[in-house]
Amino acid sequence: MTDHIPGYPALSERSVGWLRYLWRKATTPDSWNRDGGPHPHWDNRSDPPMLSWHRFDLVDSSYAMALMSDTTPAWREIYARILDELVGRHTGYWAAKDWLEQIGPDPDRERYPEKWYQTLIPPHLRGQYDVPGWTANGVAPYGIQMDPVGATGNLFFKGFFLLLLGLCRYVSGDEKWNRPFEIVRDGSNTFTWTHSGIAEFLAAQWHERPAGCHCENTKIWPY
Amino acid sequence: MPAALTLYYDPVIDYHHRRGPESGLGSAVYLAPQRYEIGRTLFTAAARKLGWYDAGRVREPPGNPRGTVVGLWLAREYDDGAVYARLRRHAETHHEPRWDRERGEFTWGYRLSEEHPRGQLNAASAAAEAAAPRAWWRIFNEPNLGKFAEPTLVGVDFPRVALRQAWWDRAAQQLAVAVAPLAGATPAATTVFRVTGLGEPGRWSIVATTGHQRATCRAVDGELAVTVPLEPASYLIRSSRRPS
Repeated sequence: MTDHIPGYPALSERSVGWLRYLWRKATTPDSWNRDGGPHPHWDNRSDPPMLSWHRFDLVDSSYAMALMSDTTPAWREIYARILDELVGRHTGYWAAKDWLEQIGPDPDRERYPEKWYQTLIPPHLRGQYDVPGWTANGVAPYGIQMDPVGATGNLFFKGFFLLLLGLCRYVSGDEKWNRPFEIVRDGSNTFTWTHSGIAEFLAAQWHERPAGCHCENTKIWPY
Repeated sequence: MPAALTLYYDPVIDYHHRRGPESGLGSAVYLAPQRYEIGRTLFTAAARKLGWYDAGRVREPPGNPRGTVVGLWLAREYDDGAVYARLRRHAETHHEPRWDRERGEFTWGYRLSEEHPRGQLNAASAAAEAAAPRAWWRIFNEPNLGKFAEPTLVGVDFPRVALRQAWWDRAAQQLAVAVAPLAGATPAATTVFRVTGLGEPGRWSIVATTGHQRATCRAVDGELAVTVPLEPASYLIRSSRRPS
């Protein structure tokens, strides 16, 4: 058991060990641009069809960083670097790959695993309804909207991105991501945002929609 | 307690897709900072539905422990000791906690036999490991913003060295530090880090509270350069002008 001082918060040995792993993971170079691809250690396998996208690993990994940072608030440099790496990846094409490539209705509506029909699809619309997780960019009444933040929907991209940005700022105190940065970066599909800009945009969307903003077209989730 | 929850609502066809209360665990994570007691209601409803207050085996879909690990985190957040203890015992047996001692890395394998630790699940398990009662709520409601103007440790030789404790005690005006080097480090060797924000660094000293007193410190360019042996040990960094 590593020595520590009673009466003051302390990380467990396991937390320190996980921090070492996440540091290696986050600082292992990879490219989330369209012509690149996330390193296989970023999770795009968990809980299909809704969560099997790399970006959820970025966002979920930020929560322990904030919790651990509050345990050692006088030492934040490692959490700050990791969070910066997570944010940087979230600006890439692969973080929004579902929104950018799942255009129109899902052509596989009639070929889902049976479990999806039983648990995720309205029973009366079997074979006629997009499973949650299929973003359906382009369907009426929204049309094609390639900006994953500026779109009417895609809350499960920009909402969680905003949370990640907030935790990064809380831990690091760095205003880096409140200066203009580009997301997607795929030719004409390059969009410029700031942390505050995303927050203001989302706040305006929420004010306009009492029922909530949607993630996939056309689904609103209680998150 | 809710008997059913909306998993998603489709406004185009005015349709609520409802599931059992166990589907509220994910929402509870995001409600806890905003509507703490509603989050608790969702957590408790899910825990009851999943049998976490009952005796017997913890039910978990094969290969998918997400509900359990999120439940573990929420049990810690809501200080539900009974559920936490039960899920923790289950996790110790079934979630394959493991060390890479050479790298000093800890992950969970969940018996998935995969090359890389499953990221999203590990993230939730790590949050549970780092959690404490109301800790997640505090980030959003009582954020520690004073830390940016207080003494801060920088330049730690991570991952070779980590800090298990780094706490500025405002009342006592002292910095509590616990050093955790990689296993196998040579105690005769030393490591250096710096402390910023001390005002007059020349007036500060370091005292070992565990281990041997071989730590030293000196003022360098307005900061305090601290040298400690590469061994698990804890220290108090104090000013000669501490309040009585």
